[in-house]
Amino acid sequence: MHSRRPGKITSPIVSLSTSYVRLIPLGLLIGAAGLGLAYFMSIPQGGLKRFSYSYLVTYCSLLSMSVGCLFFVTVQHLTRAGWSVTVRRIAEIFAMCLIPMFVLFLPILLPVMMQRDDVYQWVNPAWLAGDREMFREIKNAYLNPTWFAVRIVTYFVIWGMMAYSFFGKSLQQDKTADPQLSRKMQKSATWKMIILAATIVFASFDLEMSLSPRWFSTMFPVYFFAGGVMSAMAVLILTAALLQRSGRVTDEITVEHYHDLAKLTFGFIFFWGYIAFSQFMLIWYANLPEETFWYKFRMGDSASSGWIFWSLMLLFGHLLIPFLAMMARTVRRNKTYLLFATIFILCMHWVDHFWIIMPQLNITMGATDVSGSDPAANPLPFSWLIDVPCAIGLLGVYVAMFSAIAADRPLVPLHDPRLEEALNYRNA
Amino acid sequence: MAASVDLSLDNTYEDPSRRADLVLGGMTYGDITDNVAEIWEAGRPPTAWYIVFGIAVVLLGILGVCLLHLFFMGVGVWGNNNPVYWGFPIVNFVFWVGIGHAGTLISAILFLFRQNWRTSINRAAEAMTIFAVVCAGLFPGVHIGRIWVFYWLFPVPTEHLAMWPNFRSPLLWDVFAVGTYATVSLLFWYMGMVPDIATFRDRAKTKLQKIIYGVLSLGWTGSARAWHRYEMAYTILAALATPLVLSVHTIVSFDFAVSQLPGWHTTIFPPYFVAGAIFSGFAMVVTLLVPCRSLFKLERLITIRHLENMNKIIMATGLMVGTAYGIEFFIAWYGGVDYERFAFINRAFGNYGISYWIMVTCNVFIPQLFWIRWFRTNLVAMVIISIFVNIGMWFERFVILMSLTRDFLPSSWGNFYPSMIDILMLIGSFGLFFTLFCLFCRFLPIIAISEVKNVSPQTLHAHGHDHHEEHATAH
Repeated sequence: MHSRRPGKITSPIVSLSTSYVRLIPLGLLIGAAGLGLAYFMSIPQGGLKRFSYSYLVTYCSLLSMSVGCLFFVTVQHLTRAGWSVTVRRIAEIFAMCLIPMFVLFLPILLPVMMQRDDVYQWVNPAWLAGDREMFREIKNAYLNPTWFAVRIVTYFVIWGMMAYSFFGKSLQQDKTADPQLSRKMQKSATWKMIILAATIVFASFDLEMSLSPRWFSTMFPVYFFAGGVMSAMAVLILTAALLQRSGRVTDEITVEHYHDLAKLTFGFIFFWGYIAFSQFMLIWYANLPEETFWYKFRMGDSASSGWIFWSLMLLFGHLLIPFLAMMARTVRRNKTYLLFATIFILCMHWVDHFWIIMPQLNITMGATDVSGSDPAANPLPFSWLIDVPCAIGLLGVYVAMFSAIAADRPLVPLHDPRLEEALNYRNA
Repeated sequence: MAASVDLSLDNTYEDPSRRADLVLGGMTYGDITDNVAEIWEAGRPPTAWYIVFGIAVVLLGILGVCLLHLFFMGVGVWGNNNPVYWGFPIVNFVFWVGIGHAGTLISAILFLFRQNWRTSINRAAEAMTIFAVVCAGLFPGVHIGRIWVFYWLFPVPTEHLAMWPNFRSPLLWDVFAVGTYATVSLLFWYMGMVPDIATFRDRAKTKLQKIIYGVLSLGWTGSARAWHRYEMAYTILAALATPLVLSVHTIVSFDFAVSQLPGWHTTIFPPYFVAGAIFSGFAMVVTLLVPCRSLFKLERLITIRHLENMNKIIMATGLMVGTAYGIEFFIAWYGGVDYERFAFINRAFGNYGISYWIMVTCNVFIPQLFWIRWFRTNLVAMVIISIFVNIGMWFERFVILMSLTRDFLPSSWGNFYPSMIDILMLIGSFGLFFTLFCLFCRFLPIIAISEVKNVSPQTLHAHGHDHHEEHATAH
């Protein structure tokens, strides 16, 4: 039996202290270099269109991850969780990144507003040319630039207000130690969860499903959500591990928290697989042409575009390998191992969004029809000199945003009424 | 602790700095055992028990007569027709399987999520799960027409058939999914009960009781080694049962969703069915436990807080189901497929529109009353709402089924009318369910005695004192 720790912070450093001053310009510099290189390399391959697709892949990966963190914060309050108090602040900061992420969406949104159909094919109503009147009316009613912009702004206003409210109250509690603030957050987590669910549903339709405007799947929001939460759990582990390696919050985040977060990561890997399989299997089995074309293209009829390999990469890299790799108790409690495992999982999360988004570039680059029967002119749109620098660049900007929000604020709630419970929690 | 009686009986307060007590009234370990064991030791159960049991047995008898009638006459005694080949039997099957979800969710998933409050309700919920699965298994079992070859459901090579069942049919997957679920639930339930059955054995007064409970308790000694293995086995079973909570209703949803029928074929069905199953399962737990708790005087173990938590889960899962309804409607419009759009408009305003609105009212609107604390904590109100939820969930499956009446070919459109046998069998299945549940209440420990002790203030308080004097969260 161990003696109980009092609910006090004992780590020598609990904030980024002065490091954030260096991290912000560093992140922005990497961002400028990466995005600049990616754009430059895109010029011969379709210019803005090529770049925007690459940008959207990383953007959606980071967005779903941040939304996953917002979900994590909300659900912790909703369930009055005690164990997670010491890792909740990191999730709050990731959720706060949703506010500046609106600005990062402008490179996609503004061209849409200017009637450019580089990314979203539906911006130009010509895509409906051969369709029936009824079909055209429905699609134009939902998929048009103004209404799209209104929805996007709404999502970000809601996410921003939610994230700010949780983060603000949590910081306030650091100063006042008022337990009633926890109660307030618990109460509001109820209706916030409902609004969050609604925004995730429609954001997933708008950002990713509408890239292929004829395709539809009622499961798609759940798929988006499952991957987002999985990456959120992984990034919390990764951030905690990196912070602790640099000597921060060393006492508050214990191996028990890693263990629990790893269990949740494992759970959501499985959940993602369950959702991905169900969506695929039902469409495959029913074999209705209005649904199957989306998968058919990704199952890569064609030898040259090779989407089948990306699909298999998801099956193995996003499901089977991490499923086995995160199963054992010993590895869930090994911080060094988790560091590598979570980086791998986050890369796979990026691959997932690449797999959702990029085939549409293949299709709209012109030479093939949706069934993928003419692959000759369509090599796989993956480029080490566009997609990788773009991802690193956007990640740099994201790190800068994280550092600016974290600044010298505490990375762990100082006076949460359940802090003691979190510090003393032990897995059986 | 010198807390007044009233205060110690209210644990619904919200105080972030302390966890609410889960066992009230200052009960000691001995009190907990006595409280549960006395139900069984009592010379005769309460009169209400006899009334419920009597009605249940009568209904069970009706079910038996209906089944005999069915076996002799064939499935034509049901209202099933062309194109509604699946009528009440599949609705009842899905309804009962759904109810059978709460038990494993409570005992496995809530266990893994460390929700201590599950200890007071898990035993009864698991029992209910198994009885619900029994009711569920009945319907496809008797739907096959030639009941004497029921074993053809399994992939048994047979000379008569000269072939195996179709592995590509989700109906065969159902046999495996429900079979596995029933097996693991039964194991989980029985294994969890062994220490408590041993308690009954030790308290048994008659020779017969001693023999029966002695055999049932499998020689449980309560030694440290036995407990160690018990807890390991419990965790492993919980981990195994967790995917089963998802898989059963996922497979059941596949029965519909793999088809090409608008209103059936939609990809969100698996998680939507699972959420609906948990929703109806919890509603049934509330319906059963509130009367049980009053009848057997278990108020200090199944507290208002337990019930409130269940009501919150009912509300949450109800909202998930409501979200799924919304997504289905949105995509039926957005997808721009005529058949799909027609199916959904017809669902809400067509020949069975009334069923749709009963479903939405019961599943989405009425549970919203739980936003108000009074409804969450008032016994009568929560039972009424939970019954509405079960009505709504039965209608949900009925509404899905009735998509069959308006398929692609207008010439085959028709309506479905249940026959008297259909209705009597549905009512009769409640008889089977309540008969089993009444027998369970009478002869087995309704509450997991040993598990409740683990989370009682006595245990938690002792730890607090041993290791950290000034820490006083327990009181």
